[in-house]
Amino acid sequence: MRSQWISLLILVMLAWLSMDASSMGQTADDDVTVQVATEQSPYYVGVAVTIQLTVEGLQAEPEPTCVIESLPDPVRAQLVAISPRVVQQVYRSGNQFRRLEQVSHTIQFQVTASDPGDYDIGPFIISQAGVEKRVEPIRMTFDSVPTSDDMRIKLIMPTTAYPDQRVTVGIEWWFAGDTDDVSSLNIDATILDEFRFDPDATSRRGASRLPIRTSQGAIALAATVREEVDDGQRFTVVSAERTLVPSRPGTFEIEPISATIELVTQWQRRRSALDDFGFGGSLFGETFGSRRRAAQTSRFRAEGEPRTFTVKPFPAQGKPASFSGAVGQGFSLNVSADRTVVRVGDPIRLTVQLGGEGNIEGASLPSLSADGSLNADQFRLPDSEVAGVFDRDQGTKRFDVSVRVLDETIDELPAIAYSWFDADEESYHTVRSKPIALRVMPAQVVGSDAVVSAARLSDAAPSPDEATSTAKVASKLFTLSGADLAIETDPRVLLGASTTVLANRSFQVAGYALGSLFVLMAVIDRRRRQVDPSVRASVALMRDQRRRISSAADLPLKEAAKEIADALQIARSERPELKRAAIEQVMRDCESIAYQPSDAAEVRIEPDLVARALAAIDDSSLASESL
Amino acid sequence: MLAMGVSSRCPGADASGDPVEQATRAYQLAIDASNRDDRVEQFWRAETLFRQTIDHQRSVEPGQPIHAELYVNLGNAALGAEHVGAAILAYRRALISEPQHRRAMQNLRHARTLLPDWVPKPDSEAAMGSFFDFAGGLRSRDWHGLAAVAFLVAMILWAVHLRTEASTARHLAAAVGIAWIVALAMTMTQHFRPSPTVGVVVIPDVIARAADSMNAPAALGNPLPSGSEFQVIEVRDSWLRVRLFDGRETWLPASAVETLGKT
Repeated sequence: MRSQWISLLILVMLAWLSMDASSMGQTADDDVTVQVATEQSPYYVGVAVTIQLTVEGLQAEPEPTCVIESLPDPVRAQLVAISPRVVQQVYRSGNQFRRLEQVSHTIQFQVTASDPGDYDIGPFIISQAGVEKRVEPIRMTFDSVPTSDDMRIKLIMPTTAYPDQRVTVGIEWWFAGDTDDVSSLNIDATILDEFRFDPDATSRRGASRLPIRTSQGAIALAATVREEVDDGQRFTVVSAERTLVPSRPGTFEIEPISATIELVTQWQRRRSALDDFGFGGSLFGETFGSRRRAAQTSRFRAEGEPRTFTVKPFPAQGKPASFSGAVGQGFSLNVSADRTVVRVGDPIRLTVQLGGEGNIEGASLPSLSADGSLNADQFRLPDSEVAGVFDRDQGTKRFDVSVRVLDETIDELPAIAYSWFDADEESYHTVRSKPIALRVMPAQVVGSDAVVSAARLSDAAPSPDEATSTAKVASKLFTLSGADLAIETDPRVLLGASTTVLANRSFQVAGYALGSLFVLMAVIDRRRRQVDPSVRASVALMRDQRRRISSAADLPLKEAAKEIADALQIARSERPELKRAAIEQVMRDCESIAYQPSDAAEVRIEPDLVARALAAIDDSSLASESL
Repeated sequence: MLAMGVSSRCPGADASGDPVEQATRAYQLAIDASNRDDRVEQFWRAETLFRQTIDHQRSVEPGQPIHAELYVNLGNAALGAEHVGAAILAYRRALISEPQHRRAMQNLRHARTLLPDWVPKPDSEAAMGSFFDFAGGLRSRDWHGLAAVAFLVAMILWAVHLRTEASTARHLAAAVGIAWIVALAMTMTQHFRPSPTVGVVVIPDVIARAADSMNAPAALGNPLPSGSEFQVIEVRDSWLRVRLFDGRETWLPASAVETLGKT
């Protein structure tokens, strides 16, 4: 009985000690102090206000949590950050150095009210490892902001979508005024935070941007600016887009998007110290910043329409077995095998390349046996899901899958099916890869004669030159697994030239010859076109006269003389610069022949006269002929 | 004796018919063979016939390059016959003829894995990198062809400019002319690029020597197996001074190796 009492006493003491030990290193609630600070009032509807709680007395780790226990309906709050700050001080106390550590945490909330009024924000509950600190609510007054017909804000998005579909959400801010007078723009679209978005496009340096406030803080979206006229008012429209990716079916009520601007209604001129000198002030003002300062500002607000966004589940009817959640358009599937000659049981590594417009990055590979792809009786397929590698540059995803052939009778790797859902057409589509021809041989049976030492293995080979290789003795087991033993059997290919058309010497010579010919013809043509048409006609005329004179040698004497005289007459009138004396002499000789009384038909004109006639018109027309 | 043995054990050599068809038939028999000895013998027969085909083609048309597919067939047959050295040599020759030949690359990679681990091998990334590079993948004669095409196009455009005075045609002609010059420069670059002559050991267990003499001490702890690759530094009579792919230099008898020429 006494021993039982002693045991009980020890147990109680141990329990007390353990409780005491667990409380050591912890902080009592009273040691925790909290300072609450807010931005300077006034606060406005639709404009986020930061509340900062500075907490001292907590441990550096773990990170504390902070929740707002009670929040009025029109007010939304978003925990922005909890950041610790640790300050360590070392000081000397007697002969000992002591270290003093001060820990403080900064907790920031952003609160936004959708209606004007006085609201109690809080209480705030701060917790860390069993320590809980309650901070009394703070009262904040949100003033209303007048709306303006000069400003609009629009959220442009479809009303329905499907999970994983890329949905373009447009945000347009319309302003009918001088945008230089807008000193601040606050677009509140935090309601979209309940969805996931693709990474936003980065805007170019100096390009237009549209600031949006989200749970991640303010982000500047790459924007475009255009002019629009509506109801006789000219608006400057700044629009930006984000890509929303719904993750689950459901109906979502989206609160109106709102925009609040601070508009400068009166400017004051900043006085520069250099103004007194009468020069330079303007230059410095332009160089170091605007010389204008706002003297008076007003706030205006615009609100969009509330929207309902429905994410529909994929239709069950007609859903192919090879559908694994891909949504988009134009998907393609390419499959390649590392080898095509295998034995039963050998692994074949398939590389499946998936491309298309849609959720490629998150796409998964369906079962390889789906929709009549690979027969599970003929191929051993992977049991688990195959992870892919996304290539961001090419926008494709690659899956490496290993399958084993189980059936000797198969002669091809069948086409693999991949299905996706086209959200625009609201229908499923299936694409198939090309089948790959296979040569499957019976499984290699390893008999007792194959299970020998490497030296015997070498001896067994009939190869005369490598039969005694000691390298084989030291090497691994010889295997053909991993090699593609398919060969080309067409003798026309094997014995044909290994040159491409490009490498063909005749092709190259033809290319250079044709090119040169083209240019040569073009140059000749150009020179011909550059010659004066009258000169060309003159040359042709002179050529005709020479031809007449030359051919006159075959005519009867008198006829030839007349022909030559006539040709010389034409040549002289065409070319006054010809040697007139020589021509007239020849013409006189010709006329004397033409009018002589005898007329022998068989007599021909003297070649010397023909030669003189030709020389008379050749002398000075030589230069022209070259044209 | 060895030559007699080969001819007596290689019925394809004296059988009637096209050597290519005989080689292909022997290769198919090897693929279908279930007995290892039969398979290796048929592969060896196919290898011999493919090699005879290549030798015959070289003698008939000395200037015409051998088709890469024929080299790959030879390499596959040699690989099946467990002649790793001959296989590596054939695959490398196939890749010289057609630098991006997929099966040659894959099987060369596999053949290298069959060599002992200590044998220095070319850096696969470096060796294969150029295959994927478009510029590296084109041979000098392909660049010549591209240059001829560029010249033809440039001249046609220039002729169009001369005929029509169109400035667009002139600008395009200038651009294509620059492409022509680039293509010509590439042929020059390939021609004058300092690339070492590479070779492959084709005889099993070649003792690498410290000097060009049969009596010189061995330079390596192990004899080089067939299939070992190296770069040729110097040729002296019947010996080659070579650099292995781990940087070590040694001497090999010329009769034990085959070189590929400049890569």
